[in-house]
Amino acid sequence: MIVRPSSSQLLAVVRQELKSSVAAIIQDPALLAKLHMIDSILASVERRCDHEVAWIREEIADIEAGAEIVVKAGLDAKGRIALALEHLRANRSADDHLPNLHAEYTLAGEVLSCSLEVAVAAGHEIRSRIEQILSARLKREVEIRGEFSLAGRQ
Amino acid sequence: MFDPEATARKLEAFLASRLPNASSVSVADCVPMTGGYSCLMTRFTATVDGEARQLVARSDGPAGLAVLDTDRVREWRVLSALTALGTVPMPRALFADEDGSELGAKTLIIEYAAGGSFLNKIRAAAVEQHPAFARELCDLAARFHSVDIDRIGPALDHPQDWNAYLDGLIASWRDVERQLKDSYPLLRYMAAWLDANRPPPAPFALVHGEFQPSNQVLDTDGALMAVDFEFVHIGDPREDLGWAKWVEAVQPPVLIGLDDSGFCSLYRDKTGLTEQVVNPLTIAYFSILPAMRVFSGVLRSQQAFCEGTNNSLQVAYLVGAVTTAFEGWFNAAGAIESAGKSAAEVLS
Repeated sequence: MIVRPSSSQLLAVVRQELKSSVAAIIQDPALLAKLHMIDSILASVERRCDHEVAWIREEIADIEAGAEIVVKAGLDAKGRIALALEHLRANRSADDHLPNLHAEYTLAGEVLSCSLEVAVAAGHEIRSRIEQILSARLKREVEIRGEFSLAGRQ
Repeated sequence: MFDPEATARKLEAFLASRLPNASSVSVADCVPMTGGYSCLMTRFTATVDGEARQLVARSDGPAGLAVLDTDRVREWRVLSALTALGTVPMPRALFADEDGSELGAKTLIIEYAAGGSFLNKIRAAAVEQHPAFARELCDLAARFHSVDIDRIGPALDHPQDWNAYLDGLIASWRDVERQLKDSYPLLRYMAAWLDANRPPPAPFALVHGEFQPSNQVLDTDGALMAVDFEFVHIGDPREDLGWAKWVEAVQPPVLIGLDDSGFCSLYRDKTGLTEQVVNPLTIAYFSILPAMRVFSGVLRSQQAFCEGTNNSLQVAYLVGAVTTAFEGWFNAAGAIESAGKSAAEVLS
């Protein structure tokens, strides 16, 4: 397997060529809007592709640690966080193939959702701790997205 | 591929069938209109018995490419009712091909607003003119929200209880998340937050649902009107102000945000609502709450994309818009809480 140039490097050169050669000859505003969209998508894949597996693994670990804190604080009265944690741990991805890892990440998302619902009601430090996990998730999504404005709006 | 000649012939036959007393109907100058994300729009000139009029055909896009799966039949029934009312600032709706059998897709025919898009006008103008545009936006909102909803009839649901209505909007955040295969913790967080931070109630009004300058046009006299009624409903008028506030953050220029307090004050003067009901914090709350009306469709389209049943470039591109929305809602919630605490400390 040839791993270099990396996926992000390949995407970067494609984006550069689209901007310098293709965009220069397009006059149609609708096509230019499409090219803007294509570049935006490629840019986000470029930022994501080298790190996706590691980022998902890191976030799952953070979610589990946060959920444990809520459960240990006795706030999981309905047992929903414990149940979601159990489901996550019983269905780990056996490998790092992304479709399998995405399935595990979805289960971790349910753990975070349940933790947030309890934390908003609980308030104070627990809320702050769980909100930090959500905030970090958002920060990463924004990093992947980059600059964004709706293309082609008139 | 758009074929202007074939489109003109179809529209000609369609209009002739709707105008049986006309001696002659011809259609020319079919031009696709860009800028929208949900429907295909074509501007054209229809000449009926020698009188030329500019009209717009608003159609469903091809299957498997929809960004928002909205109902053209519902839209036609609502537009017909609002056109008949005569008091809504909007281009008149004229005809519909409700099942797509005549024009190839479900299509509405509406009047063309010759003054062009409000968004284009704002973008072309000097920054010094923006406060005047904010006042125009406020005036349009107040006129729209002053329509007598009791005269609209059964084309729109008439909610009876504000708290139950709010419950439904908050529940939509949880419901959408449950219906999607992927997990979106932010939606569940926002539902919990919205429930814990309810504003005071407001009287129900006609709500556009996507109140933003790209859905506003000018008539030949320069008067502002609303278009694109896919999400129109009877609800809380602050939904429109909040939506406009959110949209201007992602699609500048900013108008409401030039002077949030001034905008709210002007809106209160025009509608008679109190400061407790309309103020920058309640508008900020409504910049979040009603968003699921539109974003549920975007998220469902993205799920269809993941499952291979939608392959629209726009749907893929709008992943960035979803991130932008998530960021905006989370930050707005934090800002509202901080401002609310500061206000409470000042009052105490």
